[in-house]
Amino acid sequence: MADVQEYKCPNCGGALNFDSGIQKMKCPFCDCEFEMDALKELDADLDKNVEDEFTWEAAGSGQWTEEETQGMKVYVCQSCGGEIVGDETMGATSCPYCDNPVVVKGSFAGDLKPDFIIPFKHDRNAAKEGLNKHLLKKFFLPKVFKDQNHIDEVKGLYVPFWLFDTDVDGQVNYEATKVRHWSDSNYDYTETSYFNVYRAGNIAFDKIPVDGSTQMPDDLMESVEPFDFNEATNFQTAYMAGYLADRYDVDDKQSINRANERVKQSTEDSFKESVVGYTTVTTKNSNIRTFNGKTSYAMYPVWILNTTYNDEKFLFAMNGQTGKFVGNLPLDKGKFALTLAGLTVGLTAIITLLQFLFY
Amino acid sequence: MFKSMKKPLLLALTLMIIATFSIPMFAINANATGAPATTTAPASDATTATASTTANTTSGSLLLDDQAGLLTAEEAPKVLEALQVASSESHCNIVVLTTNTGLAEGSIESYARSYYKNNIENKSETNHTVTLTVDIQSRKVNVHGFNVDGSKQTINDNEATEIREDITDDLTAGLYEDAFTKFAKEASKIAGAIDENGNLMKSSFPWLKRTLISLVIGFVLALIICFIIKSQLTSVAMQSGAADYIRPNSLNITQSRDQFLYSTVTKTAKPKSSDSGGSSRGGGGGSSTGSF
Repeated sequence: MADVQEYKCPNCGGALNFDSGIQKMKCPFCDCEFEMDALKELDADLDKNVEDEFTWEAAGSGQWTEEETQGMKVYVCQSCGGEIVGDETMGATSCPYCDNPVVVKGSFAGDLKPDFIIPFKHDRNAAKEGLNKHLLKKFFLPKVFKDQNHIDEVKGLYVPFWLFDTDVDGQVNYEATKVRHWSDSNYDYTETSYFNVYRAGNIAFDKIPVDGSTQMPDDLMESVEPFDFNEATNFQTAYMAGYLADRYDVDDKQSINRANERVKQSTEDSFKESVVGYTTVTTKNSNIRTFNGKTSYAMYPVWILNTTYNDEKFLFAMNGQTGKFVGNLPLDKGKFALTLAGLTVGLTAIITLLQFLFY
Repeated sequence: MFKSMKKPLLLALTLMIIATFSIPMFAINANATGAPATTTAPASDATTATASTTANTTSGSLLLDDQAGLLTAEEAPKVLEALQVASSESHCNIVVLTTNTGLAEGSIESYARSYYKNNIENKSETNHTVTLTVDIQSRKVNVHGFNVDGSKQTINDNEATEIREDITDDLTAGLYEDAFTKFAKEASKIAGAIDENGNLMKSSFPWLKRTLISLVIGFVLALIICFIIKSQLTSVAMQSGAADYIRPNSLNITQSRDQFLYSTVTKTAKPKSSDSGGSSRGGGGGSSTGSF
């Protein structure tokens, strides 16, 4: 006995019937009509919609040699619990995250050795200058914050990043619309045509960084991106002299989910660029399969600055390679309210005047 | 400081100009402030009519002409009384006309105009009139305002449409007494800004309304500008994808299919413009026609 295929309306989800008069499938609920071939292909596309498949090779198991770790100490923050690594001469006095005193815990051991490092290109002065520039042209920034802002310590920190390389096979379905307007003497008409757009293809990603430290806010680290991996070199402890290094406490397996999210999003976005000629394009579903996935471990340079304003801590970061400076700033609520009131009065007066002039 | 506000202020100016020219509510009583009238009425007629108006209105029987017989013998007096009260309160003739002749959209307006010319204009004690015309055969309904002075409006298009839409449900349900009574009240309320000398007093109300609308728009624009400026303080956010790490030239689309599924068409009735041309003497008010 042949299988009975039931089709659902892509518009309202109701069960479709075959209308012999028009030789098309028709929805009895919303009156939409569909060609049989279009429905078959849509169903076939939806059937392909299986689970995403992400395959990654584990990070290398590079180990530190005794000589490399000999002069390195682990510093522990008494307040936030953050652990940083520095050389014996570092004598770190305060935590780069919360500015509280840190103590030397002991010798460094146990972590994987980084595969790569991007050395600092911008120095401490550049970081301070970056902060000054960052505070410029900020209308709602409290004047006190700008004038009395003292960053006591600027710390150069190597942040642990897991880097993900992968090839991707993707299949993405988009819902696209074309909108057409016309009028007659009595009515304005709007016709919206709906399309199922399917794209399949492949794409590859190199060295997607995912922050491996829970102490370092993820959004802060993603905000200082991008890093140019072309300037990375094989890891050597010599590059760490004079800088601190954060210890990773999130391993590569835990970081993979974030890499997968970014891969999926960028694959959908990249394929979408080939969907042209439509008024709107919305991603409906996608099936992503990664292969040749490879993970590596690198230290990326970040200048960390923190300050306190009205008992609230503000953390700033500068990409030690590109000089990109980020960090949220406090709002002058009084100035905000005054500006809002002033603009409201001014704009109301202008709009009223314009009405008076033109009507 | 001001450099940082340049973009938001430019945006505000653009939005403000768009708001001023595109928001239909601002067109309230456009004609009353000197813009060219869409209907021209001879100035001499206007002068005559204005001079002759008194607090009284058209004789009661002319306020209701139920040719289609939509009202029962019990309902008709009630509606007539409502029309008389409304007319008296507003110093404006509030008239209900019904027909059963299958008047089309354009004809129903002509019917009202013709009734006005033959029965009301220069025959009643005020020429200010708002008519409701219902044709039961074509199921068309029209609300129309007639004025003393062609350069002023008793009601405008938006108001006419507002009244028409408010009574459409009752008309559809066959509740004619309710519909006509509601019309009497609403037309009286809107046209009620005509003083005892027949002069329009509406100018003060729209200005208050306009100022309030301007205030709301001004506040919303100010809020948008403030939030745009405030966004300068935020520079930390998660990345949405990994576009910076796509291997150069690695994107390869192997299959593409664009398939039409279905289409929907929506239609919106165009707002009926007010009378045009010089032939409609004294017919310079707003008008709105629709179906029920």
